[in-house]
Amino acid sequence: MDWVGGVVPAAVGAGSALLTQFGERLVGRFFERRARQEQLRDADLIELEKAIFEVRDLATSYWPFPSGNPMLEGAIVGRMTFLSELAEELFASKSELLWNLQVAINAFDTACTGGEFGSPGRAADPGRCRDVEITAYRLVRLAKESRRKL
Amino acid sequence: MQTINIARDYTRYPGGRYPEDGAGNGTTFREKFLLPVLKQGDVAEIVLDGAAGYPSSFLDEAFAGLVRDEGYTPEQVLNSFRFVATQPGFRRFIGLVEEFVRTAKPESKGGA
Repeated sequence: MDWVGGVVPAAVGAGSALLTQFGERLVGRFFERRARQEQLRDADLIELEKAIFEVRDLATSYWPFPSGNPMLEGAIVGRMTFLSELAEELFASKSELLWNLQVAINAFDTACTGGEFGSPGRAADPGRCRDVEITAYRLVRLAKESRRKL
Repeated sequence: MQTINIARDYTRYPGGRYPEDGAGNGTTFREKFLLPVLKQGDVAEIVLDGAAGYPSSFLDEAFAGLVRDEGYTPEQVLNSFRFVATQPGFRRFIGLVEEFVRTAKPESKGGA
């Protein structure tokens, strides 16, 4: 029965080597998945920031002039809806972060589409551009800060 | 409890405050759909899903207008409507409407 004395330690050695390899792969896969998730979150944040500034640009070209502009109004509301969806997707896992962000989106939305927005006979309201800028930058800042907490 | 689905019963494209602003304006929505609910002392479910977004001016005129122009208190308005928003990005509209209604003052035009 000498062979038993040789085979058992060899089998144990091979088994533990296999287990170690499996464990390494598992840990590696976990970190890979985590890194990929972080990359996707960063990409979403960049897209969110881009959408916020696009809405800002549209709104600041809308308010200084009188009368309605259905094309601009549609673009502002449509993109605002998109950025809102994106924020909800990005921060879905942390309800407190999402809630704070939604409050900031609402402030930005009110600055961009409040007042006489959508009225063909509205007067120019250039002062509103300040609110648009302030709320846009606050929203971007909060989004970046919140991203770090994910 | 009755259900008012804005996209189905009124328009997919809400926008503007006054009737002269177009077919999806907030005043007409308020008078046609919201006011009867309050007058009957009823409670209604408002489905926000399905519309192509909501400008703040529409939401303010439709809901805060009940306080500003129709004389109801914010509590009466908020107790008469339950909001449904399951579409991504739409949940925040509930908070926006509640804020407009809570901060509205009787006969102080153009809150938002």
